[in-house]
Amino acid sequence: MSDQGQAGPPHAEPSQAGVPHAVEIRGVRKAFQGAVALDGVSIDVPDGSFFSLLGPSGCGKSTLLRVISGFESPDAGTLHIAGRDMTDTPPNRRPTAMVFQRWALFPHMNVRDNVAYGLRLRKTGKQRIRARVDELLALVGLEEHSAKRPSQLSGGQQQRVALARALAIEPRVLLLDEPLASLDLKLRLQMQLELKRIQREVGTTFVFVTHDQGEAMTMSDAIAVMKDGRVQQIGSPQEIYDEPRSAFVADFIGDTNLLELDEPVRDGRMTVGGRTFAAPDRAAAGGEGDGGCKALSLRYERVRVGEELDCANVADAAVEEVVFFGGSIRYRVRLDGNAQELVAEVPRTGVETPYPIGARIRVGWDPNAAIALAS
Amino acid sequence: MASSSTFRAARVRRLILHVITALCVFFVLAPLVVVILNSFSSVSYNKFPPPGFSLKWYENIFQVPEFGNSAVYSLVLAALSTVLATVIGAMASYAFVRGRLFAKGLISGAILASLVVPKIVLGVGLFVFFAKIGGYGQLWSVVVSHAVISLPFVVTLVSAAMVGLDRSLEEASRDLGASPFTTFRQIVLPQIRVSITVGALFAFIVSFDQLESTIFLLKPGTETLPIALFNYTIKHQDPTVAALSSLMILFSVALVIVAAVLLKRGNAMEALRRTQESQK
Repeated sequence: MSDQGQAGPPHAEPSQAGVPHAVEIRGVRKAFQGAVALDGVSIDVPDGSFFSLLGPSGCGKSTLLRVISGFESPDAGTLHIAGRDMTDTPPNRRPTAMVFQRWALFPHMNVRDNVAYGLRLRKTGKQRIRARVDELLALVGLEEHSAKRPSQLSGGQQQRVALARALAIEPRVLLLDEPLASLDLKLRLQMQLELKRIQREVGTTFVFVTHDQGEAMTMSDAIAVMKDGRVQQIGSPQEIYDEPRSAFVADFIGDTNLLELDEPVRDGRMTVGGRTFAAPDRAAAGGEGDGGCKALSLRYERVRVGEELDCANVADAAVEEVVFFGGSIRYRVRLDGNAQELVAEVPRTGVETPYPIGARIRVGWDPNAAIALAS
Repeated sequence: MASSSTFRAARVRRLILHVITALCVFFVLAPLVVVILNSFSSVSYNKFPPPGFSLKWYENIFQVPEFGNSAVYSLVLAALSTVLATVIGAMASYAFVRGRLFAKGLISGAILASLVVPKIVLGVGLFVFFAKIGGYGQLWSVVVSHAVISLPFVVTLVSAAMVGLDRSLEEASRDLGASPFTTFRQIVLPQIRVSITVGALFAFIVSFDQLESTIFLLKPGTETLPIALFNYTIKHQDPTVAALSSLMILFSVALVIVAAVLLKRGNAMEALRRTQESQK
């Protein structure tokens, strides 16, 4: 994954010779009446990838999607789609198609006419339109509903129509604006896998906006994490999860304990809340960048709990809270001798006896299970 | 007992409400009933209730050539001004709801102003205006004047319908390759068709019934139906006017019923769509 999305001076170099990126965003800024929505965003979306824009609401991800689709024009910066400058091209002349948050199906047309809409505008022949619409309805599994109005369909079905309608015009880039947000959980999980399957089948580049980190992790080849109109980090789901560059990313993706260091790491040792622990090797080597290691991210599931622990960092603690998750249990514990709290998520074996609140236990972690953060 | 006295108070309140409603309906309908009953009178002077029944005043309508000519003129005038008001009104509504207009409030205020300006004042103003620019007495100047008076009805109805439209539908259309004009025709228009039709019906009625503003705009010799009626009443007092008025009331009521049915069907469809959507 390229590093060009890092907040910093926008890179001006063109894409690698040969295959242009599906989307190249360079230094894009956008403000609405003084409120900055995008603050110098640069992103490369590789051709044929499933790319997610992930962030809390108000981070600018939807605005960025609307800049790519052409509904908003950037105040500064450039946008290339499939190697061509599209910064000032109106939406109807861009090789993009959008799946809207509430799907935006045309209520006065049936499913077939909705899907055929873009093709009719292109003056495609009747036979070809019919064949193409049939093909798409088969792709999304709606062959039997072609004569129905959108209002006669369930949410999941409407979502599929929106997808088929957007794919019908064979866009270079398919833009999806939180299309699963209004579906219930079970259907959402099913549609996630379905979207991924369809993306693999058609090979089109998908740019997917979501605030749901689980959704982004499940589907994406790459994720750009955004906050306050800036890109925080770009990487594969695993990179983002295992090597977050900031406390924000570490906290936003998955569940984690953020431990602040009392003073810089010295001789491979660090102090947290007055206690000394072994630091991760990376932090000992100086951490990321010049700022050094200022904090640690320690994922819930990497904290171990028990009477006998064979890891290098061990502390005595008391259980303060117990939460059942079915497949696992979360313990919130307080370390002895200081105010430091930790949350540990422990898989359930089915034969263990959960610790009650107030129980005295030991918690520990492998020094390298923690991630050094510069901020 | 507290509960029974509250109950009685509610009943009294409802009774008062019913009485007021009945009085309102009575005062609106009574003049119309008098006109319609009188149109079947057997005598030529005004006497209510009429002493006998006859259809001679309806026959008499056709003996007065001014009525026929002016009716044709009024229908042509109403048709033309309706087309003008509807086209401009629909476009203006779209601009008000979707566009980034300079001085939007001022412009929409100006369009709606003809609702509150007394028609007779408007008529004098239009007369002076058209006399100055040279359109006095010509059909087109009356068409334009009636369109101005009808415009608020079209704009109010169509804007209300357009406010409820989901903007992302238009964006979806643009996104799939449609120009702004194609998007309006294919996506916006079908969804506001009912409101536009009803707006056009209102525009037609408003133009067809218009007297005060028109009276200044026409040269002697050309007449709209309301003006012909007015002139006839000055000379004659017989129930021919009542007969013709009854026909005009019938015509207007028919148009309003068509409008109401269309609106109701549109609303019902809209309501159905909304409930179905909210259930998901």
